Amino acid sequence: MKIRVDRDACIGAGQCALVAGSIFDQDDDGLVVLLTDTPSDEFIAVARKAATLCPAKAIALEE
Amino acid sequence: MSSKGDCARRVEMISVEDPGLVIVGASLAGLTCAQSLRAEGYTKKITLIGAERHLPYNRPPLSKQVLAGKWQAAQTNIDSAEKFAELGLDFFIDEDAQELNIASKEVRTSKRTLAFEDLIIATGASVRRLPGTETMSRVHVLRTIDDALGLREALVGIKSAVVVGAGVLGSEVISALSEYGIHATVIDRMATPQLPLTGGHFASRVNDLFIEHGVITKYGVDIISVTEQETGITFDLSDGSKVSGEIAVVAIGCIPNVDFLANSGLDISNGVLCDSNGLAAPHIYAVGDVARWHNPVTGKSLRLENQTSAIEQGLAVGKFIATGESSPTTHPFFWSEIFGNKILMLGNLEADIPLTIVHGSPSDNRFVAATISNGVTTGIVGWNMPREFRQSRAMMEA
Repeated sequence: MKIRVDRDACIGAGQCALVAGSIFDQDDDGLVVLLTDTPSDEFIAVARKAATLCPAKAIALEE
Repeated sequence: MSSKGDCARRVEMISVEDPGLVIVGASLAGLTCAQSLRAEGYTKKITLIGAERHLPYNRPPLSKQVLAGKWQAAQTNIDSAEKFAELGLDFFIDEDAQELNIASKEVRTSKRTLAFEDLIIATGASVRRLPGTETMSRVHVLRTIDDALGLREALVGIKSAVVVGAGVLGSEVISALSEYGIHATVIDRMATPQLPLTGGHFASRVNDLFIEHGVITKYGVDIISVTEQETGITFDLSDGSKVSGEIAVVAIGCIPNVDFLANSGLDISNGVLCDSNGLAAPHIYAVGDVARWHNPVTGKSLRLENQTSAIEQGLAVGKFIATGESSPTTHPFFWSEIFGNKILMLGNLEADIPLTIVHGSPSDNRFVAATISNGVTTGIVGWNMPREFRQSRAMMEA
């Protein structure tokens, strides 16, 4: 699985960093920072949860 | 004889085929519910019908990136048609629900009658219009992607506009007008601007932004009449004054889409009343802007018009139908950007409790503030401090 984030869409809610802190962080403006775009298998479920919960729909997963 | 028996059995099998689940409303809430059902192992048929002629899209960017001209319409799409096919949905656009019969478990649409085992009501809400202005071409509203594109076009080359409603949507529109160099006048019958769920704590801060950017404010007034001329719109106000602009934008809220439920027997006073699992009646659920869920923590039933509630309710109902498990109650969340200030809000700030500053400082225009009642944090706002806001969310879980 590959993760893409759209920093133009990101609104800095931080949902992704809350549920999947090993994959997502926030910069000083609160915008999403991708720590890895290819999570290992054990983190795929939380990556999916982060994408679903993102209120700005700024996270896309390519399976 | 045996072949006749087989034939009869086959017909019977078709006639009692499980009607599965029907989702009325191709909204984010409805679509999230479908995704959740599949993720939780629901294998029966899912039929999704939507009244708009578009694939489901994100509404929050309409008054932000789309109105500002930074995004094309397609960037608001939630998922591609292929993704819907992957979910195994029977998906129909341009079809709306017209009547629900709970006893026969059928919903009549503009095109047919659909039987269901479970029904999800996700019809959303429609924009509230100012009476008498419905046919005026210079009076705009902002709810759908078509509204947003129409308004963006109308902003080209104009110098002045009137905004009716100083809520969060009105404030975002005023902020966009300012970026286009358009002079704005705002009218509201309330005495101050209002951000939802913030208990009035940010009214003066938002008003200061209006004043700083040259917005003319008319608070505490009713609109007596509206007249459209060849070159503009004029409002006669209850204080005897008149305000005019080349166009007007009406942002006075939404009305839940419950007309088709009028004879259903459901409680539809201000949206479909649901329990904390989203159940309005056995096998009937509601999610998103149309739903008024009971919150067991606060004891109140509130209709929440925000995108995060739509997502969380969709997830919860999908899980409940597929597994029978309830999801924990979550806090409402919204965000806004007004004159470049990034505002994040979680929970519900109480009007009669003073703000506690958790991070930063209001005088620096960067802070996180909360209302804390008997040691319980009821709401948090982040003002230009998103990372600290996220860190402070733990206060709400305590």
